[in-house]
Amino acid sequence: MSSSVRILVADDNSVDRLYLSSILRKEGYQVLQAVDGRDAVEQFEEHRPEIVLLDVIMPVMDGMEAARLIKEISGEFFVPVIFLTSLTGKDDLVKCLEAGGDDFLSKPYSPVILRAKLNVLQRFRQMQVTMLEQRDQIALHNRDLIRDQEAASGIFNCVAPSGALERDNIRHLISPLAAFNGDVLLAERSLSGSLHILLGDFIGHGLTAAVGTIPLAEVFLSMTHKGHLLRDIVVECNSKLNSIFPTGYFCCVNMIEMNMLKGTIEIWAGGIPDAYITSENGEVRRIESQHVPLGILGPKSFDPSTQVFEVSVGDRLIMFTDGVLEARDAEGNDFGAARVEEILSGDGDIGDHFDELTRQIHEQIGGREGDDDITLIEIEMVADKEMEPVAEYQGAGSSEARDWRMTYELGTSSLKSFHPLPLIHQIIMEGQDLQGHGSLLYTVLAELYNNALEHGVLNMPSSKKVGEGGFAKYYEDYQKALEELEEGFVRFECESSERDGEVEMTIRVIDSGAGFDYHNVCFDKQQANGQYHGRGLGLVNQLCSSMTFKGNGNEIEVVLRTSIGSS
Amino acid sequence: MSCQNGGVRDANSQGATTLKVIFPDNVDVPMAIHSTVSNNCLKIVIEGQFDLHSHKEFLASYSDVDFNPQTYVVDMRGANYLDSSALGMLLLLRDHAGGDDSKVEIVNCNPDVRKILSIASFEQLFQIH
Repeated sequence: MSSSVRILVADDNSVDRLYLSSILRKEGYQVLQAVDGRDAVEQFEEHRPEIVLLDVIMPVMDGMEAARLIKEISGEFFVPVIFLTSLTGKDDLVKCLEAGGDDFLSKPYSPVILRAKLNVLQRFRQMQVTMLEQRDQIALHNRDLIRDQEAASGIFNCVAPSGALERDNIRHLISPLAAFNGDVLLAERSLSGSLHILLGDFIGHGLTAAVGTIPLAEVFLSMTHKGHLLRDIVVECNSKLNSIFPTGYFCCVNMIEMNMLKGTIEIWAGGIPDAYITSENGEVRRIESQHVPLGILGPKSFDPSTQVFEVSVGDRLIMFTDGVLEARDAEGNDFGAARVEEILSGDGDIGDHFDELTRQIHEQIGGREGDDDITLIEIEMVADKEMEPVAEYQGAGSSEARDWRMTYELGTSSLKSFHPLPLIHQIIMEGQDLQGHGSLLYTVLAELYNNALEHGVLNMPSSKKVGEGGFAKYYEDYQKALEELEEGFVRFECESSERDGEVEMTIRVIDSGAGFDYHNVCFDKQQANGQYHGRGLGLVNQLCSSMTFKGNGNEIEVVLRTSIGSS
Repeated sequence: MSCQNGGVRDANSQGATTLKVIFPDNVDVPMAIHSTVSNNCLKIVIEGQFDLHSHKEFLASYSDVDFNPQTYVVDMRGANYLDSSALGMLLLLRDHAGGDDSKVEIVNCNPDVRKILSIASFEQLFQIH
């Protein structure tokens, strides 16, 4: 069947028709015959021959009209139509082609020319069939690809709900190309109260780029939920990617901790374009990447050190992936960093810079899709009270461990290298009816620990916080003092007991410092509303049922009470 | 993307001809990478755009040599552009050359190339001159 190509021959002159048919049969074609134009159209509809030969002048319906109808019926399939004609005038021949004919054959017929022309048209027809097949194949692949991407996007959205970016103080732009080409943008409130943000750009495009986003998001979000320090999260993200990625794959990131209470932005930047902090007074601070991207270095040579910047309410942090710098206009010019800086340092309200930046980027790429993934984010520094409550990490907690005690003491080297709060927090939360009070507990632990370490063990005066350089300087001094620490400890003594339908949790934090004369200290509940500086313990006093100093002032005891089943 | 002709023609028994179109399995972009050897040093010279399309050639430039160089030099004099996949390829070379114990120099970078290398802090991994 496939070896026999069918040809329809339409000619009202039976002598010509039979002669032509016999030539074609000898060539191996299967021949259908029609006596006029309408007959030709009807036979075409019924038998769908691959090639059609039409006499121009026929009764009932002429060849030109028949050609038009046949072309209409055959739609996207290419059916070659050859006009048979004794006409020789140029105009007539042109008319034949204009009516939809693909070629013409002059009477009397030359078998040699006929054969050659049919071969050419056959070749075209075959090519068109192949193209249609491949087009359909591509359409099918494309459909599968889109379905896969939708599924993957669904998985990613479970790991990292995109709603986390919908905050009053965050504006962002993610190009459609970016979502599954390895750009990743996450924001989550830490148990510690800070806002953590991750902007990442995996090497390459497509699947290889997208595949790393899920483990990265999972590590980042779960550690943020548990209240880990930024540097610990960075270390963990790096080892995760380093262990799963083959050599040559990596992820450029900005990882941010925005501390609303202290008014600081802490950044770990690896391999990503410069970020900027803009202030209402027109100041623009540029933050350069200092590190090799994530996933390249093993745990031993990885450097998790961060940069800390002091910021005020209203300041904005702007960062983006290299797709912004490489956004090209029609002439192939890059958007470039100079243009970004020009916009950010421009006149007018800094609140308008983000819109102006996105407007100019869109203008740059026009209607065309960018060469790269464009991801851009602006985060405004707000007062802590503007933030929504911290999302609660739900512990496994169906156990009922309510009577227990523990002592956990950190020695000198642990103090230098380990952040114990997530661990202690988790121990206390497991088995307690504290669900719903997790962030309160974390705040209490954090304030007690920071107080013990900074003012007790390291003997740093809290007045230093308001001194020159503010928190950034304080942070630097703190790092230095910790590095130089020769001997010290912080001990947690926790005791849980159950009585009268309440769980009573006693937490004592004792440090190796000299203590202080606490007898005249009075914590007014009002004090917690003041400046952050020195208000830490005031806050604890407000949150707990009781707070007492003991010993030399190097020991603080707090009691938390919750009714059993209260949550 | 520019597609090169991957067409193959063959004639069938009937005198009519079928045209079989196949998808191109690689797309060649003009790019030249060649390597030279001297004094236990393999020098790889990059010309043009250094990106994903250079992968095969770059890999061949150091894996198709039948001796173990002590040092590697990547000469960027002719490279006008490099992207993140090029950074990945440099890391592969570093791994091939012995990872943390490798001696890989990157020389003659133009300012754009130098900027991309320094954003990624590659001076911590390579000797860049």
